[in-house]
Amino acid sequence: MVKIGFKFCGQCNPKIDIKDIYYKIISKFYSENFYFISDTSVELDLIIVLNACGVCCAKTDRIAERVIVISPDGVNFWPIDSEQLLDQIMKVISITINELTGQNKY
Amino acid sequence: MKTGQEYRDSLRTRNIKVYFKGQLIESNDVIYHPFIIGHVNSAAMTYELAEDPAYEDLMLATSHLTGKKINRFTHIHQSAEDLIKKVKMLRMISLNTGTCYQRCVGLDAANAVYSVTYEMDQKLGTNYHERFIEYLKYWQENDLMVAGAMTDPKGDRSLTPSKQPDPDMFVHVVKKDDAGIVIRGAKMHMTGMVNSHEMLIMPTSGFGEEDKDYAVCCALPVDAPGVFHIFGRQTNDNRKAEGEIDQGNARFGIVGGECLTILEDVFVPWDRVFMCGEFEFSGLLVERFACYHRQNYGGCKGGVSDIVIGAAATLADMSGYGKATHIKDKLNQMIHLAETLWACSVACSAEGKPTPSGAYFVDPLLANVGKHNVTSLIYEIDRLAQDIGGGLLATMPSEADLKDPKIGKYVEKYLKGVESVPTEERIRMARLLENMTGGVALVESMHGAGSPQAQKIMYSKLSNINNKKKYARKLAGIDKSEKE
Repeated sequence: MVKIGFKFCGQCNPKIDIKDIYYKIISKFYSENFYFISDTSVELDLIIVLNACGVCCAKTDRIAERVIVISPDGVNFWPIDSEQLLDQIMKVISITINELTGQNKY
Repeated sequence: MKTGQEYRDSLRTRNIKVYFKGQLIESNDVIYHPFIIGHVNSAAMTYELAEDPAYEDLMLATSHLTGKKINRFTHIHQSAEDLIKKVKMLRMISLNTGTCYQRCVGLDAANAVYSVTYEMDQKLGTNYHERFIEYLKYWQENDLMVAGAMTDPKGDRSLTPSKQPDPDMFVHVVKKDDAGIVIRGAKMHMTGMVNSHEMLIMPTSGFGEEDKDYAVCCALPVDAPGVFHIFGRQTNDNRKAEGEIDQGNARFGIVGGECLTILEDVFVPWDRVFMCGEFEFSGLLVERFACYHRQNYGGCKGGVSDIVIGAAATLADMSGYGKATHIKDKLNQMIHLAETLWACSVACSAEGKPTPSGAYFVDPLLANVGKHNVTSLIYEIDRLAQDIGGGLLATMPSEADLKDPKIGKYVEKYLKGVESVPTEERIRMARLLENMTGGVALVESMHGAGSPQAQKIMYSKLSNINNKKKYARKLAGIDKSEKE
């Protein structure tokens, strides 16, 4: 199972509901292990950074094999239409977990 | 760190004396008093949001004193990024409360006292900074809510403290001995005081040697012997005793819940005294506190304005004119003004720099410009909101009429807007807008963190007007450069 750590921005001017996206991610990938990155007792395989606006101010000094940055404008700074954002988030996470595990899980 | 519930529980252990409308409120019941409970709920959000990992990026910081995770409301800013996170935190909390949560005053007082005591000790050989660090550790460890207490009654404004007919118009030291000091006077407009654990008293302006007894900074519990509080009235506050809908924002209230705090010969031990007679540093302390506090307003009022804009837009939709061009134009104007407020808070934070103590300080000119904008732009935002909201804001029947078995059906029928929206929801939105755009909410924007003139007097000091003249003279061909 992949160890996934979440980092939230502070949500001072939210354009998207990142708590809702967080719940959708853990619901879809429920068989993985989830943490908040403030939990330093675990070595993480994947960090998902959730930004609620395009400023993308959430930062982390935690290290993981892979990092996915989500914002209202896109995933990993690639622009995506808002209607397709959630699908694209799920797609990128699926591909990343498959690559990390070497399996075709999703 | 404390949870929201632990914060509430800790307040109930105080022996605080709070008077309201001539009655002393039982100290255990202060936080449940209908005129006070909203302000307690709002302050409790500064604890509750810190418990949620989704908000820890803004709500938590690492103490530079202990290395422990602490609530950002107890943190000394260690970088410009810390200053930016502070204002982002304020905007985020305002989105959740729609009103003041009071705890920034103590945070700003802590940062001001921290940096000024360091500089005072370096120059005068005192040991106030060391004392303050010990107090700050206690503050951080117990996650206290500390009310910043600066504004004195001031009496006749044309007279200095020692020339006042009544010497108590400014808080002053009346006795000193080996154990500590005794202070007397009062502090006005005390935001969050009745639901705080402690207060941090600061002088209200820069003083000369003749007024050195008034140059006093110290910390004490809000229920110390000799301390009592008279809770202030607000516009339409009787609605708090009459139900929920007419209050608009019943859960969190409007502004901070201010009081007059009386200090009747109050003893303060030396380990809680951080300035006592060092008049030459009183002005610096006021300036530091004022600038930190003026930094906030684009954050907290930015978030409050987000709610006002959202309420105006929703009410327009509920009434069937949300798609009108002039409504969209007014909403865009409101967004422009709210983001202008926000821009100053971010800018003065991004331009922050370290003080000799290592604590970061905002750009003072931009902080003052930001607060000065609030003294007028909030009025314009609220004027536009009332324009969109319509006369309904001022003429609606009460919650009691809406729920009355006989006449309720008429209120239901004739206050209906769009068919799909229940009348009660339209009334709730209109009440929210009414309460957020009038009365004490506006006065707070004008005078909180200092009246407009207090910001204007900083401009000539901070804006480098001579340099502007120099460049103008050069371009006008009056002053030639050496090359020419």
